[in-house]
Amino acid sequence: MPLNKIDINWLSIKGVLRYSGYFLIKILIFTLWGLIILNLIFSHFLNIELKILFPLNLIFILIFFAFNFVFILFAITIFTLTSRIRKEEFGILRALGATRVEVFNLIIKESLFLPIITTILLIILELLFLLYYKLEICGIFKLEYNFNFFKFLFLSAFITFILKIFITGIFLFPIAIYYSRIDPYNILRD
Amino acid sequence: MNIKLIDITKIYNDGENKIEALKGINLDINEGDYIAFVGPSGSGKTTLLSIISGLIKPTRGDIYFDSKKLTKISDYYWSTIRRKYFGLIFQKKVIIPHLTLIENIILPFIFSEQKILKIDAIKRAEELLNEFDLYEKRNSKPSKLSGGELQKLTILRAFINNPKIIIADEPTGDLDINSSKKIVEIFKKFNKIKNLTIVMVTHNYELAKSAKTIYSIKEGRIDKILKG
Repeated sequence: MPLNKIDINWLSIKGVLRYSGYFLIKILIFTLWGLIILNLIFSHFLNIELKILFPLNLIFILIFFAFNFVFILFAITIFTLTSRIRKEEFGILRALGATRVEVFNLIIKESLFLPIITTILLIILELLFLLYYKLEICGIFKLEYNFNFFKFLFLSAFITFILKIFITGIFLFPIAIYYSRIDPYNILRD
Repeated sequence: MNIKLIDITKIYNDGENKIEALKGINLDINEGDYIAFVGPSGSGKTTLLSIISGLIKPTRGDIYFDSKKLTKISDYYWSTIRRKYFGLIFQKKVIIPHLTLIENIILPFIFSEQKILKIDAIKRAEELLNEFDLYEKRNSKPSKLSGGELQKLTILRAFINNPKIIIADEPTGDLDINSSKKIVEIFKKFNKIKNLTIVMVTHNYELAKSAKTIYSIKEGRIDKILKG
């Protein structure tokens, strides 16, 4: 159990719990994003005519871009919102003997919790979504319900997970480098 | 563990102005020393402590740590020295707001070479909290603590990891008379029993008086030795 030890993992779990409010918004965005991607590839696996689902997909594509935009803004502001407090946190850790690499790792670890948690959340939501499609959409259009369930589940979870890591990485690395280079002296003097 | 400062000079660049905070400081700090620096604000005391603890690098001069020259060593190496030997008490009460009082105190163990279970670290912290009458507030968040209690927290955090040297910048700044006396006693006790080296900056006369050596710093220079 990481909480039994006093190490960097203990601190990163504490950090995630503390900033869960921010992370929750991220989770929401990521999950919706995942569902949109799921919907985009859904028609292929269902083997149904795209024509039928086209208006629905168009709406999802628009939402997809809107959420992407919001996420990018959010990713940039997540650290700046808490900038002063977080700067002090990393400053004190550096003064206590944390190396730049350790602070960098701490930030990355905190942020990696998110894609993992959201992927699990996504799989659960996908299951519910699949049931909905099976019962409602296929019922309405009198379509044959015929696709590889596990292949679909694995593929969509994998794609969204990779995308999450990629997007998080793009914005996270410069932030992590910036915070790991904080000068503790400037933070600690009055 | 001995520290030797030779001709330490620190110049800050403030735009076009150059401020010479320290002007050729020479100092020997030996194991078991108990040193207090006194002097007016802006005389360079905090800068000196920051150089000793490796938080900033001098513009000129050399620092030796047990005969090893540290002036040009990497930031990584300074970090490993700080985690191994130093206990730092800052003028500014910097804490991690989402951790409780006791969790803030055990923070140094994260980077310590002593691998210790959380339960043992907490036990050790509780013993110290008892001494400072803070046991009841061990699970309180820093936002619920007073300025004096936060000051005590930073002092306990410096001691928890059994450091070899305590670097303290105004350790009694926000404390009442009784708590200040307690700090004086603790500093004396640790210096005497554990041979702990203490280097501090203080305006508190009682605390300064408890030191074995008192240096007066004025305009970036060691002006005179008041005691020792």
